Amino acid sequence: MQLGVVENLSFLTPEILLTVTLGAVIALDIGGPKDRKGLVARLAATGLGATLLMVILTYFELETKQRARVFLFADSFVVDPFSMFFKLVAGVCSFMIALFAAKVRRIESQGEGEFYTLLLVTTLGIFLMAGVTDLVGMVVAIETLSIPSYILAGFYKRDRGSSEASLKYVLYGATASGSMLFGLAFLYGLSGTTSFQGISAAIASGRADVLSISLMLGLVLIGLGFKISAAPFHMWTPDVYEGSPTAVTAYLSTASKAGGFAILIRLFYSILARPEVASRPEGQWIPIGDPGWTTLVAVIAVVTMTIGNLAAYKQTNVKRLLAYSSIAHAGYILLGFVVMHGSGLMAMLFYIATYVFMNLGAFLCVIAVSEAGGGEEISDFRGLGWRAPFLGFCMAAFLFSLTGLPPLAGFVGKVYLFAALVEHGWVWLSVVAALNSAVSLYYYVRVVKTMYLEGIPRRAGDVVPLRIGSHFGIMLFVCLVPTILFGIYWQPLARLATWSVGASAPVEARPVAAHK
Amino acid sequence: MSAPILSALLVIPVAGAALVALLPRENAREAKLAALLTAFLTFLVSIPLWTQFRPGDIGMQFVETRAWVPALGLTYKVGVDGISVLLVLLTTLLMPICVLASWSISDRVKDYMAAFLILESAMIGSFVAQDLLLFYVFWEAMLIPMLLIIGVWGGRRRVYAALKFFLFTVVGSLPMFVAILYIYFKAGAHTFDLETLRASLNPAGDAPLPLTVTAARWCFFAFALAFAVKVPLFPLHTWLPDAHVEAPTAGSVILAGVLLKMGTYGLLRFAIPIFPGAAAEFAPALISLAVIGVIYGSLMCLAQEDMKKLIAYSSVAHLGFCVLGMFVWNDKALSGSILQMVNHGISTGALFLCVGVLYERRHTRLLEDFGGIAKVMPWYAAVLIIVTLSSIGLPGTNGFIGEFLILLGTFEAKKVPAILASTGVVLGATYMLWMAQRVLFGRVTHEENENLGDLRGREWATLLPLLFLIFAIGVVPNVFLHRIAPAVEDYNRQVRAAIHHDQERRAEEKSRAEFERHGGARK
Repeated sequence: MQLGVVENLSFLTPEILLTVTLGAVIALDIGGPKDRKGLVARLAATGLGATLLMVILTYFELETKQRARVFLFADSFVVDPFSMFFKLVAGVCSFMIALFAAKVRRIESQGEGEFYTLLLVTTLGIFLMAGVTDLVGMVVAIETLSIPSYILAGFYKRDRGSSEASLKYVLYGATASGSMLFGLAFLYGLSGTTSFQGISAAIASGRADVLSISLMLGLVLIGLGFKISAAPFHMWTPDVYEGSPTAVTAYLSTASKAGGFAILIRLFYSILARPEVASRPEGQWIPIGDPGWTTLVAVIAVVTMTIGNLAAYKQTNVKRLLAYSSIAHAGYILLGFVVMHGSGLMAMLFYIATYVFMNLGAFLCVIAVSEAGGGEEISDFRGLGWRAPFLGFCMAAFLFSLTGLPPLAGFVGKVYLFAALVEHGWVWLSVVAALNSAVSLYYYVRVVKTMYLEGIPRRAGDVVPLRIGSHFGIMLFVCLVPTILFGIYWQPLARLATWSVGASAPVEARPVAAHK
Repeated sequence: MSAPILSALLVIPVAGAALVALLPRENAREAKLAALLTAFLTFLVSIPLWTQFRPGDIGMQFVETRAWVPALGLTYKVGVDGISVLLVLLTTLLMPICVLASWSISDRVKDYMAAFLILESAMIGSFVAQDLLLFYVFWEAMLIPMLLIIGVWGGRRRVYAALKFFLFTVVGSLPMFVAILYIYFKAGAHTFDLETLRASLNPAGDAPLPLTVTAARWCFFAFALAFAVKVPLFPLHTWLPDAHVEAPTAGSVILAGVLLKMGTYGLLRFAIPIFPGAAAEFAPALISLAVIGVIYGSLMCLAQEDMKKLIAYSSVAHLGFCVLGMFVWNDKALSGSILQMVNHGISTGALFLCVGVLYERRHTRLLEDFGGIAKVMPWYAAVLIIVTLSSIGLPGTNGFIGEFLILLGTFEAKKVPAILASTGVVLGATYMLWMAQRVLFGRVTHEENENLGDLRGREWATLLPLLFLIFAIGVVPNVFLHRIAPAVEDYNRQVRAAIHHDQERRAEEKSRAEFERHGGARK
């Protein structure tokens, strides 16, 4: 539907609120009182919380209007349930990270003003990525996410690991962005338009050659593959994840990836596929041009998860292990992409939502341990289950959930993904993924083994308790609840994901006219 | 609908586990008491499953159905029939015994008891679930508590044994997970409900078969693999001796008593009825593996020095008998097979308890460290002899009924496997009696053994119920068999009909396909 400017803005409340918070944080950081310890963190967290609330309200508003889709800024930005789903996920991540980082001493000492400013900018970038339907907007959104991320990775200024991570991230990121821009330029040249719909229409009318468009989208895939750390563009992930401040790592592996997936789905499903029945995006999709591109993505998914899982095998550092695990998970999520059916997209959304909680939780455990004086090596986790019972329990739950064991959320995510694959004839792919899960089991269990089966204090007096503080405890609990709850009763989340896919075809030929 | 007994059986242990976990860390005694009360309460609640069970009624009883995730067609559906009811009762009976047997655990009591109670819920859940995905959830949920029980409270190589157990089982069951999803879509019924799935995958009359022969074979293979690891069927048994040797006494009891039955039960409940045609094709292979397991397990027993390892290998042999009885499609053999599952739980559970009694006194399980124990511990000797004889299958004890029925039924159906497997009985007598002789009789060879105390009250409490059942099943087997028999007759009738129907349909399809090919060639 086409609305006036003011009405339009009401759908942008989350983004506006985010920008206002951003301004306030900068202002407070520059002009605020000297002894404002923690004030910036509180302000940023409050702003993110309010943003999250607005996201939920907007979501509801869309739901009450049934299949509503609002195009803004000359159709270059869309507010639809699909984008709101990703905003919700990213908002939750940022909110959690903001709360968590507030108690990380090193971030505080390095200047929390900068940290929260950058965090808010990246969040804004992800919000834009979720809704953008235009090539130029896409570049702007991605760079809004990327550039602050490079700085965040190197946030510990005098730390060699952190600086190395930042440099690596910039170099790889610049290359990926370069290829992507190259591809985007050609897309514009081939089709004469920058809007996703326009390109799609150009292909449909025969003005643009579908093979050339596909090739250029291949170049774009490099940029997006880099964002979601899909092989072979994953090389940066372990080093950056290990070197960055853990809070940033947690952020990169969850929110940032979610944004990458959002735009990946929107771009490819807009241009290279169309729903069999235009009004039923939750049904079958038909690839446009050479259908081989789904096979290509399938191969990327397989290679990604296999590399991630095999490389995670011999890691000794928990952060590095989780980095490889997050590569493997990008592979799993990509599986939903190749299905060419709404059920696959729904599975992706569902998996991302559950993955965010368990992965965030796992990284939060790492932060909590290192803040309590522990280390980041697996050997530092010896007997942790007994020294910090709650933290150990949470970590075990997150890791088992990442493995995909019932009754945890990760299992349900895999049920949907594998089900979508099996339903649409990709049985071999689900078998490969199942084998990969089997491989991944080993390294996740190795951490649990170290926590619970080694260094067991035999008498009550032997326990050297590791106190993590109530702040971290509460945050872990917040991650734990959905990890377990969505493993036992996930109907609401499944419905939300289904609705978010069904109510928002990433694009339709000309929705505006249809609504008139 | 009557009281939700089965749901209560699932909830009470978990609630008890939560209660135990919330106790302050110092209260080891209270934790033990709370766990014992929970387990005992669960047992009491399960008694109606015995008294109110209507043996004549075919099909599921005590059924409860609730929608769980309607979008996926998932239901919470539980129920028991003649095949599973005794296994559920065995589980609830063994639990209080296990808690009592763990009384000497001194470190991390709370966590230990909580793990055991959660394990109980998961085990009962696996036996009663009538929805495939629900079953899978319970099936996997058993693993983590067992991983901890072996890995934390086990012996010297506990970590290795625990991980081996864990990895074997999970890796074995992942293909089954994919197969479950596959048949879910192929059946097209949009449900994981076992009965509906079975019916739609094996349609009556001339409706087209949803699964191709190859797909049915692969799916059956995936299911059978998951269950064969758990049984454990030769050659997938290697995790079992390690797990048994390292597990604490109660862990061994529950592992042998209940967990292994999951494998045989799963074959019986899921693999065979859902894929009858493929099951018939694979039957010769599975029968061969079962017979190999019987003979190999028995021979391995002769070479063992560690009592627990010996009993572990004897489990491989005994469970081989159970699998043998399942794949000959004979009523007697199948009844015997189900009864043997229960028997094995009782006898082997008791054997592990007996080993535990010695281990608590001497902290060794090596046969060479004992000898002449009968002189020092006469009551213990009597109990061990009874349990040994029951494990061998002496008439008048439970083991006789089970093994005899299996061999009789198998002989009626297939002679060679029956003859080969009966060598297992002879070998079984040899290794068990030899073990009893080396432990109990002769001179007291070690000074330390001269002053061992006889059975104490708590140990009697764990052993007496099992001794009672050994004789009860041995003397009045019909009380138990008449609960099993109607279900078994119905089961076999259905499976035989399904196999026959499946083969006919496949043959028809093949000839039609050939006809069409020739027809096409002529045009």
